[in-house]
Amino acid sequence: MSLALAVRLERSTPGFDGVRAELKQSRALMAAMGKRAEKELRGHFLKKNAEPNRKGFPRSNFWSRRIRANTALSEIGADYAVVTIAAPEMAQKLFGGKIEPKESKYLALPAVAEAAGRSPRLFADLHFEPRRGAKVKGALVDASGKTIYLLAASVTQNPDPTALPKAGVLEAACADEGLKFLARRAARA
Amino acid sequence: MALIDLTTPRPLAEAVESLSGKTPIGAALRSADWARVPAELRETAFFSSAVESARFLQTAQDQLLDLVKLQRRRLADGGEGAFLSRARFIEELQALAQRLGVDTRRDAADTGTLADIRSEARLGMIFDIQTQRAAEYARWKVEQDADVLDAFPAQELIRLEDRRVPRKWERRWQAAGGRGYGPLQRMIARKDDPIWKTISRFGTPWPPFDFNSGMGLEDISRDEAEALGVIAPAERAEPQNIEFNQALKASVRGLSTKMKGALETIFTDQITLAGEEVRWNSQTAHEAVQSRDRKISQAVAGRAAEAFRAVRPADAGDAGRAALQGGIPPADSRAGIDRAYAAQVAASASGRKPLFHEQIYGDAAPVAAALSGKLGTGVEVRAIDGHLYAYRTDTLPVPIEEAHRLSLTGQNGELLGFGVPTMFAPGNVQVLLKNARGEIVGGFRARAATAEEFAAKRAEDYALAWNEPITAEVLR
Repeated sequence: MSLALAVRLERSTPGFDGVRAELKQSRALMAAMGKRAEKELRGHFLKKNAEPNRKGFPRSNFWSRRIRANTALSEIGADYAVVTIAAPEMAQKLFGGKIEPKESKYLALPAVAEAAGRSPRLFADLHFEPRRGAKVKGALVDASGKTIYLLAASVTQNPDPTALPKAGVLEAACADEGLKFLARRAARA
Repeated sequence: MALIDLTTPRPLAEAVESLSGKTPIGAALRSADWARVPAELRETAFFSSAVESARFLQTAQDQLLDLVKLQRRRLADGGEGAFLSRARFIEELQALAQRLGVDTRRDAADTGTLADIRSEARLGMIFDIQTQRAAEYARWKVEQDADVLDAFPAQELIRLEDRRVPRKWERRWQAAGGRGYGPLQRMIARKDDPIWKTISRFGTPWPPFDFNSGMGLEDISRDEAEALGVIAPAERAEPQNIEFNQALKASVRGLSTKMKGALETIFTDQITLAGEEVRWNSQTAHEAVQSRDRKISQAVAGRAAEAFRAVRPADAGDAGRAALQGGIPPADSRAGIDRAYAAQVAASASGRKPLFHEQIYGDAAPVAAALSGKLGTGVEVRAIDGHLYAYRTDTLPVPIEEAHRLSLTGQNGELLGFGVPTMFAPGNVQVLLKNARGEIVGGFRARAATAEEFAAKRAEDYALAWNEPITAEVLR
């Protein structure tokens, strides 16, 4: 699954009720707030991209290429705007969960930097060695005996609590943009 | 306070539009040559430097399109697989390039470099560039909204990813007439400024602006843009409009006669030059490959039918029945059966399926002799112990001797394009292919979960070869 974030004005939301009434249409307000939400999210993902790889592997630029690049304001309505994060990997980051292999018997988990982001089939000389771990069922080892991948029947990942900006940050940014929008309207009037 | 919540998953519609709107164009052109093709035309082509195989390009495009559509991969048993990953894309396209004999190296020194279509670096770059371009186009398209442009009228060119040897983007910016703002000389311009197209190697106002550049865009709000002097309070950035379906054709008004001639020579029947316009002939990726398959299939089927006819002539009764049906022999006659065989030979010759096989006993050797050398480059015809085989040497995944062994043991179903090794496994269902008169022209057994998919493909083999409607019926 991917995610969509909706920035939505509600009639009962204090402060914006009056704004809606004042504006003949609030679509322009939603456009400004939605775009600000997109900017905040993309900025957050860019910061995440700067974090070093936890295993010390070369940077894959996952947060920049897969998440930030696929985050965009996708819909603007009279009282809502939708920012889409069109990357299936995002849900796993946000909610965590068990991953099981769909197209092979085991998941191949890179054990060394040279395996990161690469398919085992791109290595010419790997062979299988059984392992007796609770989770790790085997390993793919090269001709020199070096373990290149560990093989597991499944892995369970914890949610990444920093996958999205902290609670309230997006709301505050959108509210700030809304106030700036109103100030501009007033100045132009 | 605004409320923010998570809602239903969805793909970026404009990203899907941009990628699906491209036509796979196989050509020997290298990047520098492609850069001379008009930008509007280039933008609607799915191509890669020096790759001539439309089948390879179509597979790459289809895989990436599934990812952009947020569709999981389909497994052979009909189940849902994982989402396409960059690693899987590289692995599968590398294998496909080997199978199809796609090789873009000029010499051995190119092996493993970006000039080598089978290298991880090149295939990884295709994955990155194509997915990024589709997503960034989607973002740009929604941004061409007067309300959005009013609130965020400018953008800044920033570095997103580190590079060991970064390009001098400041120089490119200045050379394109760009201004630097603030003490850091930030590269900011209005969103409707032509500089965005100027700095792009690809001629588009959305990123990426060059191969593996690591650069991208950051929105600048109206307040900040006004404070920096990028835009005046009374000014508005104007929406830009580039429609992909409009861009399927491009103006050649500015092109020299030499360039127009070069386009015709290079792209031959993939392009049409009419007056002041030039356009790709195929509207969709599927049509591009289908058009090629149709040409090959019809040519091969005609030759194959002739060879069968020479060895196994129709009797007078069959000929009479055929005459009553506008020259099309009844499906249950010798000529009708051979017509079906010829369509399958054509499907193998065009690469639509790996192998044609029939046991026709004493006729196998003379038919093989009659067909030998007549089915096109790379197509082999063999007779082994009364079994007739036709296949492309670059798409048959096993040696022909192994294919023969699999045929004798009833294990050749995948090679024949039925999606299952043995047709008679429990749970398999019967597929019937019927012509417009309701006659059965072919049939096989397939897995229940994938029967429709392979039935459609095999029906298309006949339809392409004989240009007649064929329906597939799955008996459950």
